[in-house]
Amino acid sequence: MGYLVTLLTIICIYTMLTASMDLILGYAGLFSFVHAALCGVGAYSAAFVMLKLGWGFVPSALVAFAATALVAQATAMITVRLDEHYFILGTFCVGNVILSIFENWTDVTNGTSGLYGIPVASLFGWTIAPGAPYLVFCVALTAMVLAVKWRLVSAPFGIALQAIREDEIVAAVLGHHVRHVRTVVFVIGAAMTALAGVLLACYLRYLDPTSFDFPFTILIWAALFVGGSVGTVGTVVGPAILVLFPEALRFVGLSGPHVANVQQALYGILLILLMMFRPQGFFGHHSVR
Amino acid sequence: MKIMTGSGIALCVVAALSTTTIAAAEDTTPIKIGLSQIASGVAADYWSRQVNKPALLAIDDANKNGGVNGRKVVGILEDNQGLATTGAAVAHKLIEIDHVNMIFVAPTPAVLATLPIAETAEVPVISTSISPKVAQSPWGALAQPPADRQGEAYAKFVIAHHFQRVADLTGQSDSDTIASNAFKSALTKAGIKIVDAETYEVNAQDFTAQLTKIRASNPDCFLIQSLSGATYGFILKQMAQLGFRPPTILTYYQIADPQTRKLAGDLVDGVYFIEIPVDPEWNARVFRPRMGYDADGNGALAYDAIALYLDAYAKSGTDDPKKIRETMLNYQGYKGAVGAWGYNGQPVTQVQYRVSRMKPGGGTEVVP
Amino acid sequence: MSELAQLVLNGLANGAVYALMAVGFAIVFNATHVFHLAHGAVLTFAAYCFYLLVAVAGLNLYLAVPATVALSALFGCFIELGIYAPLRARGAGSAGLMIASLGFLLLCQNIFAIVFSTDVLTIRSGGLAIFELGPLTVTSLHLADGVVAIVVFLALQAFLTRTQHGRAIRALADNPQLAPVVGIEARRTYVMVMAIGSGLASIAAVLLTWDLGVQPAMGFLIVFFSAVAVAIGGHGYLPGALVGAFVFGVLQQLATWQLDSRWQNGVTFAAVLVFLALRPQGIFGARLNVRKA
Repeated sequence: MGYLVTLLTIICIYTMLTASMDLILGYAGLFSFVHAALCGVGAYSAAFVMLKLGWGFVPSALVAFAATALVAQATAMITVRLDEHYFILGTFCVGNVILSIFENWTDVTNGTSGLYGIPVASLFGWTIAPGAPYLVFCVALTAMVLAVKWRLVSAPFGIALQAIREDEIVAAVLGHHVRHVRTVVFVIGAAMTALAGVLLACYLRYLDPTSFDFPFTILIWAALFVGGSVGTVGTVVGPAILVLFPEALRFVGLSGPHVANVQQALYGILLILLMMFRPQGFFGHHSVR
Repeated sequence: MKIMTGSGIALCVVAALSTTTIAAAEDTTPIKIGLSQIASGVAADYWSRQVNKPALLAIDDANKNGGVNGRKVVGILEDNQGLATTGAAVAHKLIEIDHVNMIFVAPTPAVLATLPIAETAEVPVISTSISPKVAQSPWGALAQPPADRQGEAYAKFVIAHHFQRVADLTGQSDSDTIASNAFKSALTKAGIKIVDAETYEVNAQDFTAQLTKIRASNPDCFLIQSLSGATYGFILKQMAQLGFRPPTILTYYQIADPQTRKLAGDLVDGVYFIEIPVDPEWNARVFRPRMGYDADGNGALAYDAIALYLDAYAKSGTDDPKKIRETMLNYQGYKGAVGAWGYNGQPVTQVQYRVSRMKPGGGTEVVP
Repeated sequence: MSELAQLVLNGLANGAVYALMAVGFAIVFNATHVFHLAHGAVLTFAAYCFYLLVAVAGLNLYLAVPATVALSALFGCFIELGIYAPLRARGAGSAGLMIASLGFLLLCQNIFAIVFSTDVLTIRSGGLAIFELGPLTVTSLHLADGVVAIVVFLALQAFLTRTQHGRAIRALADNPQLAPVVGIEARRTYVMVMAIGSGLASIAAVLLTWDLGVQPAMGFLIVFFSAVAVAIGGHGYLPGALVGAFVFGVLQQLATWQLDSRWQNGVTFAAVLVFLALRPQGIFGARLNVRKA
């Protein structure tokens, strides 16, 4: 029971990350490689005030939003000007800088030893016990984030995003402030990842830099492409598949030192096959072009 | 602080009832040991050789000797990828699906993610990681000397040999950083100068910038910390590239891994290192014939950690995990892969490091 | 002072290997517009080939090196014909191609790990012959790296400017819409470009493997470094990729000068970001790295 609850909790957190990636990559066409690092900024800032100042969930989440939004704004200012491919490189560079800070700013992050003993989430004085209560909490917040996203993309903002993604010159001619819109969507997406980070911190009760490295961002990309970009169902289905599939493998009796390599190799093949035969993923409305 | 009411409590109760881990008091149910370890990534093959396989060997040997009071021992190995998130999922799976009696887990991110879960479920955790947090948990036990003891061992060598200008190259990892800090404070207390301290990224292959700076500081003793034989190989080669060979080099026992000599050749000769003493008789009789290679400190400790737990289980005559853990921590007279070994009542192993040196042409020799 | 000079020298030595990779990446990117992350897989493939030919089959270097280059070129053609071309035929754009390229890199990395294990496999052990220039030291291999990088690059430039195929590649890179009109067949040229790019990667692989051996994940970081080098040098200009690679190599070393070396990565990439913020078109680029809107 607890095992299933754990997996569902992780799926919720990954859904939040995939939904925000959908905004940034699916709708806006920005290949962000700094997603996991931004999640880490949210997680560490919240964990720091929870641990050192004893703050509750809501104030800590607000700190996480602020810190991540600031970093995202700075990132966008440099990278949004860059060509599509150099955006990836720009965010790759930012990711490296952030990871370096996680490892070396030991006064705040405790470096490679990590932050241990993060308190259980407490909402206005009520503790949310780990396990099923926390899962309910995560589901509620994830639903809220998905609702916000849906509202955002149904509004003219969402149409502007897609127009810019398809042809930025035409969009600019039609009056869209391309850089401004891209920056806004990047910061909003970053705020969602910050929330996911706070949930992750309260769930694991322990943070270390290796949790926010580039393979994690690649996992979120894979979740988005499998589930399908530009859509809501896909952002839930994708993470669900990518979390449950490796766990299911544990029960098939495969063992030995190379099971994980087989799994990763399958991800690689999956990405190739998806691009070949189903670029819109299972439930997406937009083919990755 | 109030816990969420209503269905929240109902769910909690259901979850708690189904996660009970105290085994039924039947004499034939097997003892299950959960192994949450690395089985993928850059270190996968080393980890398999010197952690996973030795642990499984210990389980095998226990079964050969009649199991625990006649009960079979089963090892369940799961890959935690060295990460906290996967470590948490593995811990839940081992506890709630497999109903393991004990979890043997490393490295540090996975252990620290496992601890809160194991504490709630009252499952003992044994680890060869070096994080002191494991020993602070009421259910944890550290089978490897904690990192500060490592740093002190290095410092002892330096102080004993009266070196005056010491340099330190450390990797960005939990253990290396803690050991390095302990090393530096011990030396400062003894009044020995640290002329340069540099750090490298764990998976780096190029250390020339750090080594150039250390070369310029002209040390008489150079401490190099790493958790990988290949990294030692690269570092020694790049030192030679820079024409840099200090009079004394001190390292960790990974220098004796075959990969180091494959890369660095005889640049490895004469290098000192601290190691967990592996009993050569045990290695020759128990380990080498079945595995085909020698056990190093990690392998020996992995074996002993499991074997001592099983011996304590048998001796305790109960299934109560608290009592078994008590018996294990206070167990006297165990002799295994590292010779005479135990916890001496503390949740931290009492094994001590000794200093050895790489012999020209191969092999190692203990330095008195 | 000599410490600084040694750091610069180290950076140039590393930069030479990055240069071969960066120019290979750039030539593929310029002509085909694919963000060819699988370039890292080609590097690793070439490294394992070289290892097998020399350490396992015992071939001598005069045979092993050309064989490695040839096999890698074929591997590059396979990637083009087996993955990129079919994708283009199905209407995939640069994003889809990049993701498939990333997928292929992941696939290869893990297949190598399964087949060869994650241990480092070596061809030779021990140090290299070194030369001392005053307080500075440089290895014979590093000198070779630098010479090879320059020579290969000059040969490539000669090929691109003086031969018909070379001009076809440049035409396609310059103006993909107009090139077919004058009879340059895109598909064949893509295959040629991939073969050349992969050949360059294989030379880098030989130089790396000779000293540091081979391991499955060696391509992952290096391909990103080469892409960064191309960004620094400026899009669309091959000498830019060469210069960008040397700059990046030196930057990595200088990031530790007068600073605690634990910040090496952070400082290196922060410097790259500052540079891209101030000059997004790179050193030689003419406003080509920048979005048009």
